[in-house]
Amino acid sequence: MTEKFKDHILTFILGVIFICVMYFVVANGIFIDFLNRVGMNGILVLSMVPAIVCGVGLNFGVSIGMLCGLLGGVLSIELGFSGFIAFIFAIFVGTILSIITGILYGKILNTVKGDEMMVGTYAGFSIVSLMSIFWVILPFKSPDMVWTIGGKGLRTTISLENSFGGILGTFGNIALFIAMCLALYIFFNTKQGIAMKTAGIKPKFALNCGIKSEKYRIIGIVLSNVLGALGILVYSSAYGFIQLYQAPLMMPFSAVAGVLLGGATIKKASIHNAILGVCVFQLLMTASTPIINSIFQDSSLSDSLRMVISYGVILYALVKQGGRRLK
Amino acid sequence: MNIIEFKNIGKKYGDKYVLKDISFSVKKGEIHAILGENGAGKSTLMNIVCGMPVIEKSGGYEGDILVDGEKVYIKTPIQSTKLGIGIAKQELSIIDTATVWENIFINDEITKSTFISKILGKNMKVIDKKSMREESQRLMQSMGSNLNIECLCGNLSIGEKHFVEIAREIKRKNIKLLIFDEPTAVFTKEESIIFGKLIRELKEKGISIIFITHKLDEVMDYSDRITVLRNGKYKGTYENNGITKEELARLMIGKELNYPIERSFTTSSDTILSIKNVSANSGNEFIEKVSLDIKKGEIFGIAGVSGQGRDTLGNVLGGMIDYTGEIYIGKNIVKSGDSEDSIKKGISYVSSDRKGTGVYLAGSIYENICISAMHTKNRFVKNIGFIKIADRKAMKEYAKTCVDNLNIKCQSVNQSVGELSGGNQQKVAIAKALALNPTVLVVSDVSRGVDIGAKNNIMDILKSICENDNITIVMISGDLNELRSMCDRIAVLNEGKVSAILSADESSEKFGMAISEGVKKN
Repeated sequence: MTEKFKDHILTFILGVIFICVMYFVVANGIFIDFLNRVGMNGILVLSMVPAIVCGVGLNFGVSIGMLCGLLGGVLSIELGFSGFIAFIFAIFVGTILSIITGILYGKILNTVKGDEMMVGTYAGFSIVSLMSIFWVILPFKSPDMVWTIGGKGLRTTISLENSFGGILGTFGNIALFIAMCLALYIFFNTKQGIAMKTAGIKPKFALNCGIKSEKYRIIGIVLSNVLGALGILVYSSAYGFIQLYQAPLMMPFSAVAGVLLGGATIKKASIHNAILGVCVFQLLMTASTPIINSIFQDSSLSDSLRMVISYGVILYALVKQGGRRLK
Repeated sequence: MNIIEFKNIGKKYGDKYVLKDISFSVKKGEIHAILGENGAGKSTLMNIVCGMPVIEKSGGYEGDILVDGEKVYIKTPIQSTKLGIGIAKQELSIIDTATVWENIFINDEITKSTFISKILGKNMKVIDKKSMREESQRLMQSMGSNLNIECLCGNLSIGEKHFVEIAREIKRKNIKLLIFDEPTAVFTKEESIIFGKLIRELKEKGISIIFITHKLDEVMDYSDRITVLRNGKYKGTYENNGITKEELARLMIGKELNYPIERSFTTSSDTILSIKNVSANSGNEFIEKVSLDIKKGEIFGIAGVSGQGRDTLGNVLGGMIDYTGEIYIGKNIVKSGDSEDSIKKGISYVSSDRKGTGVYLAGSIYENICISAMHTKNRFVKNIGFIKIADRKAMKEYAKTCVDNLNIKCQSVNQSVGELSGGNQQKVAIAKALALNPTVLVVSDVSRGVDIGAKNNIMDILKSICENDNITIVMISGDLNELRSMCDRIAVLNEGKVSAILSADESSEKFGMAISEGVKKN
């Protein structure tokens, strides 16, 4: 049997499974839930693409960008904005902060070439922990956010009811996700974008072409972090709450798993990987909850399944990459 | 008595012979030099003697090797070790994080048996550090080196590391034949003297020595007999006092050829590229205070054996690595290690590392040709507002004209470069460089790994570029004949310095001397 024929069979089987699952999803009336989740997570998954394209690999440190977004969010609440203005302001602050931190983080990653993913993971972890301290000591006053007893320090979950909760709606979120995909697509076809791709794939060839890969790695990281900031704001707005402290700790992992499920590797990714990835991943999540609940009557199992899938996929991608390096 | 005898040794890779009909012998207690240019087959011959797996994997060798008069077929390095053959290679096998004595005894440790090892076998024996240290100390003293055996090898100079490697070989009791592969290339003057003394002492002990080199001075200084190889063929074995340096140089380079330079234009007297006191190093290669003036419109050759600084000079010109000193193009200074600046000032570089640097194999032909020009010269760009979108249509059209002009054999410009043959890949790399509209084109080893037809084709292309487009070409190559057929003037690099600048019609003798003798040591 030829490889191609095998591929076709595999595609067919996957297609059948996909149709079955879609039927199940639509028939059970959870299709809207699925769309909601895609809109929530889409930009976060998309944020992985520029990092992979510029040659850094999976950006486990995207939590830095997320924290910038969250900071923008809480600042916007603190200043008393509401509605669209609150959302726009949060994005504005988040973007500026993530550009600054992205440049610094990119410079760090340029000094540890080859180990970006491990360094990124720990950079993300330590910044999340550092910010956990700052959430307590930053002088926020808004009664919506601080602990009711004592009146100091931010709560772990902050309701967005009075500011930008659900501002875009499910379809607004999806539209924003598509717009971001388009913007990134256009960027990858500009002079800068092509230089970034080249620098990511083959730094030596790029250098010979007059392209400085360090610079484009930083641009890639900044883009990734900005999308991370935007992504967490969309996520929070759709969720209705801002989650602080340890919540952003594991967020990068589901984004990473998403893009990998879409067919990206550590070396190669494109926008359609992100789109496909977020759909497949969220489909699994949406469909698995009612199925498992009907079998075990224990809702916490579906969360376990989510972890098995996301960490399993990451493990698979890393092992596959390592295996290729050994050859 | 002959320690080792070669009879009609031949070796082919595919259907190309890299060695053919090599027959000579090495006597007991003799220092035997094997002299030859790059690609003469010296290293292949040594790989055969040492039973390197690369030989066996590519189909073994032809002919017979006789060790102590007995016919053997050497298949593995272990076998050659058992026969008493040792080698100190050019690429060192030294562990940088271990000490000198640990390196000497690695995988051959002195062990003590203990109670446990008597029960569980010899793998449980205890390492005897004390006697290993003593033995190392003794070895180092006997070699006339005062190296501290507790030093970490990472802190040693390359010459000192070589001594550690030599010590590792000579500590073996059964050693009969020791092979040195270009040992002195990295030695300082003092180290060379110690080395000379050392091999003479080894000779007294009855150990035969083969040393491979391209340096005539050393050959004359150290060896008893000299075997010359050229292009994989045996050119005779000579007694040291029966031949002059000049004769050896001629044997090594080959007979005089007439190199008609059929170019119809004259080079102007203006200097276009001026290299002043440039030093740089990359990996195990370096250049030191190189100064060259290259005239507008000429084809300037840079020759030298590999490892003498050719690639480093190319990389410096292409902005791939940092340098100290000054490089001017016209009146503008070129920034150190800034490829973008090099390109903008007008230097295009076709690297000798074709697959790593020259082209991007998975990319299409048109992308390979145009990315560099797009990035540095804003060619193939459509402006939509402030966004610069890549104009793929223009890229493809330009690539098509390149394919026609340079005669690149491909199905379409969308084909990936990895699918092309070596020669066509190289043409893509040249097209990439030409898309930058350079004033100076630096090409490094363009004909390496390219078949003869494509090679001639490339040479014709380069000539026509130089004649018709008035582009100055700096041609870096290890193939002297190629350079002599192309260039107006040729600078020879040796140990990172320019040892001579010769015109192409100078005698082979002069080239041979420049390549192998280098700068006169004071």
